[in-house]
Amino acid sequence: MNTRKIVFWCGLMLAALIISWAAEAGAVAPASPAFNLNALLLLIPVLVPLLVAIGKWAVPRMPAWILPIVAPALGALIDFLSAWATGAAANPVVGALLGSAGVGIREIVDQVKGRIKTGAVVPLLILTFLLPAATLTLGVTGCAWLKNTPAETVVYFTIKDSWILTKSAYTQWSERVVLGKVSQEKSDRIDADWNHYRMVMQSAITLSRKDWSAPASDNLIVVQNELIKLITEFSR
Amino acid sequence: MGIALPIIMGIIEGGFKLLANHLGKPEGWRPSPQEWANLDAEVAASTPEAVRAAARARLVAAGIDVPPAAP
Repeated sequence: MNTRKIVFWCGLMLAALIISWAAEAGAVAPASPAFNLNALLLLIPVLVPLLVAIGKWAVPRMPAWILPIVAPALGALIDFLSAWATGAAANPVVGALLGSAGVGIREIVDQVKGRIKTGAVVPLLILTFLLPAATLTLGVTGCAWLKNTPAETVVYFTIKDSWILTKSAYTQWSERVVLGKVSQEKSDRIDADWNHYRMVMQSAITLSRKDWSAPASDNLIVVQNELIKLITEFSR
Repeated sequence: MGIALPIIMGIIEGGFKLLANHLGKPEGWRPSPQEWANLDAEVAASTPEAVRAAARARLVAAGIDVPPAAP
């Protein structure tokens, strides 16, 4: 076992011990109503695959069997830290479920796609971020969250998160284009889809500014997913 | 190593942007007209040429050899 592997696992164990101790001792920070705990829960399916990807980088030969243990632990950890930061009640079970869900879908994609090549990692990760974020967060945490959040805010987060994730994928793609690793034909095709996505995004923004209840988001997510799938396919 | 460091950095950057979008919003927060306008302006400005120019500048700043841009 090499040094960084030992450091990684010791760090993980230490974090788990500290959390257990803190939870047992009731060491919770003072309430801070300026933060929305349930909004943070929305990010668990996004953050867990991210942390797992970093863990896989730190420990290239991480055994596959460890993932079902690490993923819910990370979900519960993020949930606990969110609760600690906000002073709100923690719900580690929901955190663990969301953590498992994010990584579970990521692993399914990995299995379907076979061994991932470096160039496809980012689009694939982003794609797998979107699936759990769009479905599970609304299904598991959304009900409670939506009760306390103005619908206009939910629409704004949906649109802006879509923009952040899709632009991140397109930015990574653009770096490959600039480095000359992509054919002109593929570059033109992705550019056309990117411009289409921007057009749909601008329509969604315009409609939402006038009437936030306008059902523009569905089309946006469809176009976004098609673009990310295409970037993934062309990155192989 | 399965994933190159710049890609890891890209993932982390995207994660932080997402966090920044959600953190610090008080209970009952609503987006202001200015926030909608800023998002609209960012989308309008993010043409393929602009995104590629930013990518080129970032790569050059990182000391990576970049082929000259097509005329």
